Amino acid sequence: MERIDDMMERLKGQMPQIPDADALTDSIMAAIDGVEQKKDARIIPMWVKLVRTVSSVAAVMLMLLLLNLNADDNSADMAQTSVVGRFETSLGSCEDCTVKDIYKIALERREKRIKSETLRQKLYASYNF
Amino acid sequence: MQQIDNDIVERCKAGDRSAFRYVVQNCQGMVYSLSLKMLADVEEAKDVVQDTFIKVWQKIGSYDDRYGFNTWVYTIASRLCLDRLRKIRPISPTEWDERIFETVADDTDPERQLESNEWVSVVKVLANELSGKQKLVFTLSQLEGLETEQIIEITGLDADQIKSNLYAAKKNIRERLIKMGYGKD
Repeated sequence: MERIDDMMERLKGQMPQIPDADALTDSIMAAIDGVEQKKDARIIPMWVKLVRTVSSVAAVMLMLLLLNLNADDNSADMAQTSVVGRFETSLGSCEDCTVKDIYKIALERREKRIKSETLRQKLYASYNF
Repeated sequence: MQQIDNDIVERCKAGDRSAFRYVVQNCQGMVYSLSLKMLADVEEAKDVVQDTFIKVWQKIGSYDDRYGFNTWVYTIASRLCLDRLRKIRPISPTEWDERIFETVADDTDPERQLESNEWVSVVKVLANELSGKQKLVFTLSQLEGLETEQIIEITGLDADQIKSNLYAAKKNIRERLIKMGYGKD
């Protein structure tokens, strides 16, 4: 075992020589160039970043606008509901009217208007004779 | 082992390739030495040298100059060696390796420098059955000849862990060599 200990002592700190050290250095530097090129390719141009930012901001603003409009519509609906509650017609007032009631009243008005138009046309025709 | 000046390191941080080439030329020997002794394979060792310097180049911006540059490079290299050891299958020493080991052991010339393939055989015979950590501590301490403080910095282990790993490694090697007939001289 003593000769092994001697051998270990002799080997301590010995550095094996690299076979063709210059070629290894060159290959390391080439690999680093390759890594750098990949890194450069991954860099996003400034204008792309700018377009991305602007479109993101625009999208957010559009969304806020839509939300705002939606809120206006809701308040208009609420106003309409209250008007509907006080709907009055020539046929009489309608308290707590529903949309269906209003539709019926509108139909009645239309029929009435058509009838008066027909009468007017008949009257006009009788004058001609 | 030549220390790298802070000036050179700063130039590397600024992206100076010629300064980095100088670093590679001066440090690749020590990285190759460590990886060859850890992996017992010339091609694997060269791959680790390349991977180490790619990492050094990528991380040099975060290098803290309070620590020695060589120690920092050793740290990167030793981690890569441990990673690779987990991936590759250990190859048992052949009869040829044992014969080369015997020749090296019998040689009393203190000036003799071993070739890479001789190192492969010696390491295979000595450290083939050691765990990754034991192999790293044994290599840094017994084959590279580093001080305990440096090994602490490189491995992140404390002094007791280094001591116990080194003890276990030496015990394993001694038992192997006794089995091979080296106990009776």
